[in-house]
Amino acid sequence: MEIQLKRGLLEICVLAAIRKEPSYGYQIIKDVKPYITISESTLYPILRRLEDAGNLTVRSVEHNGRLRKYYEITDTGIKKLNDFREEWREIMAIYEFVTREDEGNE
Amino acid sequence: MSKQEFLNEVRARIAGLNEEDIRKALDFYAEAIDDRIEDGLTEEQAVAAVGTPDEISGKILMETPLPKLIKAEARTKPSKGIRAWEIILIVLGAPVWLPVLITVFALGLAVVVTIAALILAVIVTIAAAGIGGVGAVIASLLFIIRGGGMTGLIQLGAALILIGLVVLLFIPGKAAVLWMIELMGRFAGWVKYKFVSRRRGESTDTTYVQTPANIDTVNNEEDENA
Repeated sequence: MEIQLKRGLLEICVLAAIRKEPSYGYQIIKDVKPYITISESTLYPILRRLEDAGNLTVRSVEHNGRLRKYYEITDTGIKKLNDFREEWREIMAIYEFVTREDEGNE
Repeated sequence: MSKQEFLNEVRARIAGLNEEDIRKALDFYAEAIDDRIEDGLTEEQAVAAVGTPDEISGKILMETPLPKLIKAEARTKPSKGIRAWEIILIVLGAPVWLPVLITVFALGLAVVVTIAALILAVIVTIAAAGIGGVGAVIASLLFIIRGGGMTGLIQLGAALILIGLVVLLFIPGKAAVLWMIELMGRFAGWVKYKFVSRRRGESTDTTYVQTPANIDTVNNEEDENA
């Protein structure tokens, strides 16, 4: 997949993984993994970027005698997800158009 | 490799970044390893599943803005301890390395300046033709009113052609400018890549044998280094 596209999609997937409730790194990876290749080394920069952009906030929660970081989506993050949906609707329309062209050529 | 060894390896490779960034990164990976251990992996397996220190530090460094990287580089250098003979070598070697350094720097600068000059040239050309065209139209109209006759009409025609050219050139001109800006961005990216890969090569003093990734939980399938 094209790099920029994958990068953008990964951000969206991470936001989607914390949409319902705050989640932590390992859980996010487990949730996103079935849909797109992701590892810790990829996730870390994405979380930092999303945090810097104000799409999520980080909170440390005590767990088994150590601290675990939970990521919580912000309003800006929710807006980003909604924007993605809108955008994707357009892309799906383009996809329809492109595949129709293919059939026409056969 | 134990968790602590692993974290030390990562730290060595991103040394010089600000403490806050280093601490955040190490906390993140420590948590990732702990979570996997809780999931039933051994410490060894958990470390292997998280990735190699090279891969991890590489991603962190590529995300760091270039100015920060240069600062980090400058900060780590003295800590390695320069010996007296090294200083002597550096000083005596100045006639050799100084011109080389200046050349490399000048080449980089030349690339950036050239692209910037091209961008400016395109913009100035189009703007000049536009302003000149409008001016010429006004001038030739005045000329016709004062009884310039045929010559005035020819001048007016030429002025309109000039304006037409501006309209025609605007779109390709804009595309060319955008393309050149992107080119500049790519050049900066390339410089950064060279920088990061050199840094990475430097710190591979401890050999790290990757354990076979036969762990059934989330182990990192090499994500084709996107």
